[in-house]
Amino acid sequence: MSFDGAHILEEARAQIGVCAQKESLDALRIKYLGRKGVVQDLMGRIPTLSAEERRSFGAGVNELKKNLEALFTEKETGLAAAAAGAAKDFVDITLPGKTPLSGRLHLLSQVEGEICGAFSRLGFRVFKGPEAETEFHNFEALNIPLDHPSRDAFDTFYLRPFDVSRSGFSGREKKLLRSHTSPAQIRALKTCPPPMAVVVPGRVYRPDAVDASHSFMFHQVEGIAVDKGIRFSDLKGVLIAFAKEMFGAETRMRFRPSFFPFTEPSAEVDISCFACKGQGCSVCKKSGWLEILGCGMVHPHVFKSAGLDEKKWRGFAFGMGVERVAMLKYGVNDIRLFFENDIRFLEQF
Amino acid sequence: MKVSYSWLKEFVDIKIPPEKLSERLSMAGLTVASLEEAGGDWVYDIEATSNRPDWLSVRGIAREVAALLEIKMRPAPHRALKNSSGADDFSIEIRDEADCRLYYGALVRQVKVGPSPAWLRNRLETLGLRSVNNVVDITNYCLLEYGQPLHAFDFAKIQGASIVVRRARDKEELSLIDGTTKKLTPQVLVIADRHRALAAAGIMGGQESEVSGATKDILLESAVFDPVLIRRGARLLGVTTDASYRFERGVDVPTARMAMERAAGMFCELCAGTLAAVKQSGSAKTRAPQKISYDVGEAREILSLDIKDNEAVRILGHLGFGVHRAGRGKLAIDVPGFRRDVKSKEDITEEIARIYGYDRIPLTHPAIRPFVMERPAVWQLEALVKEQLVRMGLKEIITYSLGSPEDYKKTSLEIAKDALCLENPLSQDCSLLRSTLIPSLLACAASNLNKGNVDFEIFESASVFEGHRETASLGVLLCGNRRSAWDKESQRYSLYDLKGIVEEVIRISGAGPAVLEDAPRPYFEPQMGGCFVVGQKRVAVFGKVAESVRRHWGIKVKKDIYLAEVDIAALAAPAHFRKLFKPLAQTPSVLRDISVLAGPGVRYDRIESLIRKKAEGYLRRVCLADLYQGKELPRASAALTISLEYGREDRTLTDAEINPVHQSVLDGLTGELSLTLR
Repeated sequence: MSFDGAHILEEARAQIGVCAQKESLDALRIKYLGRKGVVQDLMGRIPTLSAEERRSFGAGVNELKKNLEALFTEKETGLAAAAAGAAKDFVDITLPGKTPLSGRLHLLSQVEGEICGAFSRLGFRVFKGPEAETEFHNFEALNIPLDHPSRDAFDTFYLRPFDVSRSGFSGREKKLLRSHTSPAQIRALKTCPPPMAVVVPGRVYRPDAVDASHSFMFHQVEGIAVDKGIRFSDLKGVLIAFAKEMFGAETRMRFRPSFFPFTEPSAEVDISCFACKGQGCSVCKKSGWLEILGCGMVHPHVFKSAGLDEKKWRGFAFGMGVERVAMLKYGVNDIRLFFENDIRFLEQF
Repeated sequence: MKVSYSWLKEFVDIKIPPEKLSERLSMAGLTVASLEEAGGDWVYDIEATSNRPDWLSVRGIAREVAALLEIKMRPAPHRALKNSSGADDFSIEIRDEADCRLYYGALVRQVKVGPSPAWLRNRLETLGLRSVNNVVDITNYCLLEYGQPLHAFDFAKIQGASIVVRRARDKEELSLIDGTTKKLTPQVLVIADRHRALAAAGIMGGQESEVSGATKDILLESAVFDPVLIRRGARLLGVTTDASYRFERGVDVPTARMAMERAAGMFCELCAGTLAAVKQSGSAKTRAPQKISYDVGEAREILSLDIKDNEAVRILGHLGFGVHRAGRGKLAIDVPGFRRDVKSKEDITEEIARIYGYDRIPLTHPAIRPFVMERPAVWQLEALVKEQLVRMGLKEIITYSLGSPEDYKKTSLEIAKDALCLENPLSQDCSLLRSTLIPSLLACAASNLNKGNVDFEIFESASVFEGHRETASLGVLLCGNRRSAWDKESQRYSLYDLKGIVEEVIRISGAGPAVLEDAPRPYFEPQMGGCFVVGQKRVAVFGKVAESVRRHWGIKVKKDIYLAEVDIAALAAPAHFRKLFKPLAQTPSVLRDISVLAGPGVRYDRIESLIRKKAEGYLRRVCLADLYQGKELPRASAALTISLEYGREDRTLTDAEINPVHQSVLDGLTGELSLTLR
């Protein structure tokens, strides 16, 4: 003996579907699941069956009962929610979600963090140096003699007391606003003796009139790694690892000889343009390359300035402009935007 | 330095196309800023780094090309001349050889001053120089060819036919050929005759002795001046010329002679002149050449390149170095006079690497060894605070460290006693190095408000300066409403929002306890400024910006502004970042609310401390739950609802046990503080 459970279920589903009132749903529930309902009727037949038939028949009835109960529960919840909704406020799930108030680091801090983060993962630590520096650290220690044309690249703001009559500022050493982060090389070498590897982010100052691509204050990240037996090829290896992380795995790099008083040999580094993959576009001015940083092997003079034995240690150093990287990477077309701090600008990144 | 393809070809047999040469030059360190076609020729604009004055000449660049292409360079085109023995034509006197080591004078008589031949004119004009006349053009031509600045005087204008190289007299006047008249000082070197200055030595000639159409005889000058003296003199006079640019970087003694001989020859050839005399004052002796002993193994090691000894020798030879083998891999190197930048073996390594090609150096990875570096507390605190402020919804700003005294005036702020300013500011707006972030925050708020951005919360983390002290500071500013999306539930910022942020910053430092004090400031509204003191040190001020300050900054939008400054350096000193687990409460708490009417006489801090005192041993937490200000309440008063959480770790409190404690709190409030319970 058997019954068509699927048919019963379909019939019930159709009837439940058109129910709009709790009362009619209750009536249906009695019809199917009540004491004299369909399911109960089927149960009542079980004792009349043979032992083998009982098992499969009973399982079929149980399954039907479970399915019917689920249908009723679902409909009941739907009717209750509809009733509640009708009674309360306007609801519209398509209304826009509320954007949570979220803070932002300044884009320059973010880029500085990206740069320092990439080098940190290569084993560098973050170090800091003062912005008001001595002439010794900014120049002489870095092999930039007084009255030498190599100073032309480092026009510098010099400091004096605002009110000489009241100030306790002594003139014992001339102070200036550092024109690059390289003086921190000397301070880092003195603070953490080699082997060492640090990156130094920070503000630097040069008397440049402000326009779309110049600012008298900007940011640099400096790096220096010193150990026995460090090679120029290590510098290349570290910088390409940085560039790939910063600008994408397909980035290529090229080293051109250059001159910095505090490195020898020195190089200027270009990366393949990430906007056009080196094909030539407006970002790279059709050259396919972007000048991104300067670097070289630490000059023996620097070791001497830091009180280290220049015969024992070798190292490499590099430096880059944070604004330049940020402008290239994020398409910012005017350096002044960084310092205007328009909220609409700050919230974009 | 501009140089043309055709001129270079005069000295090196270049077999590669101009574009390819440009690429090769750039990759050897002679950065080609531009390559342009001009009248069938190609012009390279090369950025000569300050260590390479030899690149400021066609022959110097040709030498690099020869090394790169491994071709022998053609000899220089001058013909050697002999110094005259007679002393009758003219005399040269150098007052101090420290100022001028060497001075050559060549007298050429009966020159015909006129236009230059077309080839000479073209060559100069291709490189952007204006053709003046054959005499001037020849001096310019030789300057470009050899890198040695030359000057031609109208010999008739040199009184007494005597050249004197001396310092200018104080306030001595000189009219230069650019039409300006300069008042000189003894810091300027001049070329003079018996009576007056004729030229600013190494910088620019004078108008009076300038070669003109009427000139018959010319005196050609080729000299070696002190670089520092010329550099300072040019700065003092405010002029930079092709000549001063080269003298500053240093010229080469033998080259000074060659250029003089080349120009004298050209005067005879192209101006129909006759060489009458060549004289010299000072020593033409060059310093002994710099000798460097070098091991090619060093290049192999540092560059990770398998470069052969022969290759290194060949490269250095092409570049003009004298190279002698001194055993396996060992070289004895004589540095030529025009390469005064080369002083050590590192410099030799660079020369080899540069010509061999940086691109051939492989990539390797150093084993960066772990090393210990203690991070000062102030760096840690700065980083933690920035992170937390961003999490709380604030936007970081970065403003200039330089401001103006006017900013302080607008903010009703005294300029610090030890404030620093610039000796050489670009403008008064950016002349004062800031000792506080407050004016910068206000400037940023004002500019945003003027642009229609009216609701914001910002901070800056930067150094401030006073005397020799450079310290980390934090500025926070809240303006208008805490924005929400589209409903009207966004909240107006209040003094308590700002205070909460400052308290959070102090909490991060782990320094404590912080004591609140009133901080009346001219830039805060009365009674709306406070400060926190940790130990003896004031670590933060905060308050509502005064109406007068808003007015000075031109802020018209009716939005409240609150600002705070935290002395991160002072807070870092007692900072304590280690966090220790406190066991969670194991017994249930009993919660009781109290509602009191607070007025001007009794401030919240007294209420809270009374509660703490009365409920000591039973209180887990006390906090303000609600503040209500309604019209039915007395003026300047508010109803405070304060939540108390009682509990003990050793037992579960019953009502019977806590009721008397709570009653003593209520009695204290009504009795000792005379407050009204609601």
